[in-house]
Amino acid sequence: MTGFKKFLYGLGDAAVLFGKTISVIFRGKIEYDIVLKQIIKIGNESVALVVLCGFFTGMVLALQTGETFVSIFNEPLYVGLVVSYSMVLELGPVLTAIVVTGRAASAMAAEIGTMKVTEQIDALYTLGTEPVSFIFVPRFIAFVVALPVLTIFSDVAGILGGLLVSIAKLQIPFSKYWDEVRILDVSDMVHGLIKSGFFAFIIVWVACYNGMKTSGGAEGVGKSTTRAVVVAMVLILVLDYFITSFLISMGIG
Amino acid sequence: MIKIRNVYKRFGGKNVLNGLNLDIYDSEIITIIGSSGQGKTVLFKLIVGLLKSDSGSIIVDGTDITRLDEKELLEIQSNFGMLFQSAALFDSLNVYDNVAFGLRHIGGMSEQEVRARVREVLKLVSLDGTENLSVSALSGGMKKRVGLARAIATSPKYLLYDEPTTGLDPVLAESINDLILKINREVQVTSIVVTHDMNSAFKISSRVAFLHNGVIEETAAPDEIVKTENAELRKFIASSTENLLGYLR
Repeated sequence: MTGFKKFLYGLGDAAVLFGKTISVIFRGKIEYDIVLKQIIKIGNESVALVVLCGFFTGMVLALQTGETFVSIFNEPLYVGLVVSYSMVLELGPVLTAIVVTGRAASAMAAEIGTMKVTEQIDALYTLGTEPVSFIFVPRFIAFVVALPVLTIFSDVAGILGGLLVSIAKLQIPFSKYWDEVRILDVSDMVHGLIKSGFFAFIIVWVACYNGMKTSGGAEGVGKSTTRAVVVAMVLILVLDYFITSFLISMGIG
Repeated sequence: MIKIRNVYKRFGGKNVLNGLNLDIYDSEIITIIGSSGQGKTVLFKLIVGLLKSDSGSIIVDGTDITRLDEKELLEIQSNFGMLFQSAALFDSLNVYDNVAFGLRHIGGMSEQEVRARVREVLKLVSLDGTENLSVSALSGGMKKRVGLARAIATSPKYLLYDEPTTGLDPVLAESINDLILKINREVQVTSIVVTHDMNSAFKISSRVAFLHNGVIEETAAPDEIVKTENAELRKFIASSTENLLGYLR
């Protein structure tokens, strides 16, 4: 089979998987206890990393912005504005998605891949269960819930990181920084959270699909995990532009 | 009863099953033997509907499962209990939840009934008291027993064993053989065993089927099959036993 034909087959399979997932959700066959477990798992695995990355990203943004404005205008202008807008609209959702892909999505692809090669997926069928309802749907819902929440953590951490640098290094008063942060409105927050939800959908879809396509023992699990992480990261970064354009054209954010 | 008629299955340009025919009768223990790579596990997965045949029919109690859609197939699959070669226990669940899994998804039972049934089947496989153990804490033999408990918990009509004694020491393998016989006797199921362990095949089988070149070349009771004229089968049986016999001599 040629590479292109393989790609088309893969796209078809992934579309079928998505269709089944949506169908199970609409039929209401949701395993809520697994959803909850997954949300806790994603949160536990990723929250510290997301906060740490967000905090330092906010710090570096404040530093770069402040120093640039100081070199041009002799004053650190708009630091609060640049940090808060950059974090909430762009860096919060994207960075969180990238961190969660590396941490939780790779673990998920490896877990599903291992289930595939150790026949646990086959076992599900013989126990009267579709893998879609036991594996995909709970993870799908968990990611769509958890990623926006983690994004909010990242946004807040970034704004606080920026605040720390602004006060300690750039001598910007708290009230000035905070007044600029408060210019953000609900539509900006919604813009970031919609993107985050969309990234969650990409991550879980790519990780589940690659996990399910695993073959060839431990080596196969390693390959499908790597592929899931790479494909999810690339898709997040590429599709980010198109989602952002769409949201702006709709007047959101 | 399961009737397999003229089944073909091809993987990557290689014919694995070449018009295979086999009848499996109710309440018997039929063992499918054959060398590695002959398609035993493929046949096994076709019977349960985990793989689709390229052509031919597999009729389970009058229903051709090769023509069913996914939802109908899932219903038929609940008539099958399966012990996988690796036991295929769910790592994320403990012993209790593994055994209870099918009961919760198929049965429509209350949690109290589920608990009682889990205890009953764990006792049957001599693993009572292990409910709270995690899968990683189990030995190979215990995993097979939990897998067996999970397979019989939903009272399936057909029980399939994929290489049940592979990877176990001789004493443990013998205990699994005894367990298969005990379950067949006490639970009244039709058992289909795929193995290349001739010791196991001779001990547990009502009939033995020899899979070679993608077809069942011979089917007979164990005491008949040792008298076979089929050169490949003679070679298979002889090579399974000659080392041991050599030592005994």
